[in-house]
Amino acid sequence: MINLIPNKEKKEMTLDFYYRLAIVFFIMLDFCILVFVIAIAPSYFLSSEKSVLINAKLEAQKKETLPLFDQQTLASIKSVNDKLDLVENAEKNKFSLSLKVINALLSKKRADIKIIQIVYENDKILGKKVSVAGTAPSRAILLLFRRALEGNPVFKSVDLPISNFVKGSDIQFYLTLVPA
Amino acid sequence: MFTDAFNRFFFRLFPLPKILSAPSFGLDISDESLKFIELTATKDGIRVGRHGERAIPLGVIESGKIKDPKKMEEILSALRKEEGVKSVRVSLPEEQVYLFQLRLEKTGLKHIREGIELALEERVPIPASEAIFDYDLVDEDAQSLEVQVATIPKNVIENYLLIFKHSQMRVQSFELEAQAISRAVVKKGDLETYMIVDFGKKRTGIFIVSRGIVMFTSTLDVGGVMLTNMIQKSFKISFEEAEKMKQQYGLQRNVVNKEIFAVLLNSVSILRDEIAKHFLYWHTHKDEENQNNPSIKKIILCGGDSNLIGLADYISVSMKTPVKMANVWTNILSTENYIPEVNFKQALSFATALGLALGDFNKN
Repeated sequence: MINLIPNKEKKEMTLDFYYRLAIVFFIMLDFCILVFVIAIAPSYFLSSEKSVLINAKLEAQKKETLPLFDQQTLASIKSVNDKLDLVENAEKNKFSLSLKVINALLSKKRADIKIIQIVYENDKILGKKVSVAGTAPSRAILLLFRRALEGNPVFKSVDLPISNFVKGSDIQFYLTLVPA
Repeated sequence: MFTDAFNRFFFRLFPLPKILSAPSFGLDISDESLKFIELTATKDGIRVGRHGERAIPLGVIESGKIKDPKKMEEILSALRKEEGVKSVRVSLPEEQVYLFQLRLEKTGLKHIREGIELALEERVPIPASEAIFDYDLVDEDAQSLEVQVATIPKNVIENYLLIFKHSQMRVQSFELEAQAISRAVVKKGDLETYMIVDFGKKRTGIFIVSRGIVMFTSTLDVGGVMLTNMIQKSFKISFEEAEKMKQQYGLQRNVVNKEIFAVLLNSVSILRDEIAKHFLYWHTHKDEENQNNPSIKKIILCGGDSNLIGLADYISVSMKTPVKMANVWTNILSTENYIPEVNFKQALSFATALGLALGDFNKN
């Protein structure tokens, strides 16, 4: 079809068409939203009203004093819950003895060093630590033992107070290890 | 076929919103009058909406050129206010449009428009920069394209556009009068060759349509008013009485009508000669490839004064070719199911406006 309208006008008409298309699209979108809102409004108001009623009922129930039987039941439930918590948390709180720690300690121990006591602690603030008490025949041997432990990656820190080196022989030492 | 049926079914169920389709009026502007008609899509098919005619005072438009833009704006503004005409498809008078065929070689052709622009100045007496053109693809083969090009001076279109803009009307299209008429009177999909004679009040347009495309146009200064004037002068009666006599007797050859027949024959024979001239030219003229044009199957008569009694028979006998009155509803509605408000005679004068309004329904 021959149309002798200038190209500029033709382009404007095409653009106009797309503007109108966009307007129709948005009008339809608005219409759909309106229909959706109208459709969902009764359910929304109904559920909202139900929620208010249930909350009010709950508040009223909370304010009421419980009968003796219910109080006893609640006390029993609380007691059972506490026990269950204890059992569940016992596993969590238990300090697990690490075979790695003891093996590392024993592998670095010389024959002339005697371990008298090993104490494991799990402090909530300071974390896990191993306190070792024992005897060493001399300062040099004790120092070698300490260095051997420091060189082991199983331990993050090795704390041997200087007071342990006061005596020259048959030294009774107290060592604190922090596992890695 | 299946796609057409599906489209009809789909658009019947889900019609295009008016805001998108921007329905427009067909507006046929001639030197003496302005005809408008609206076609609306209903669930029963296309129906005629608002329609009418407004007289244009002498001197406002001359041979398709607007001489008094202010007056024209007043007429259009009044039309918009009274009838609500906001969007229009406008016909351009044939005198202002150059129509020619062009064969473009495909080698090196990037854009058809560029190819036409280069050849434009060889074909029309206006520089390409001052012309507005559009084209229809007529034929295509492996080497070339054949296009039918219509060109009009830019200032003519700009004058029209400015007037419509001032009248707050949106122009959807400017079309050839012949193209609009052929869309109304030739059945959609009919690719045969027809000669259309638009016998108007003051002018007569002769068009040849082939393969659905307007191939040739010509205009004569012969019209119904000229016939009435001749009766008026010959019988020394008023114009109204002469018009009445013309409608009553026409080209009927009987004892009562003998004198009127002789008077009318002088003018009608001018028309017949012009038709014969173009008819002969079409059949003897060869195209650029030295091939004969397809033969004209039928002459179709339309226009306000085409229903003059005996005119169709007279042309048919003298041209030895079938002549039929146009059915302007052929692509619009079935008159078996629905009788439009516009009567047959009136509808013939609305052929251009109807063809223009049909542009809204033309999916091509």
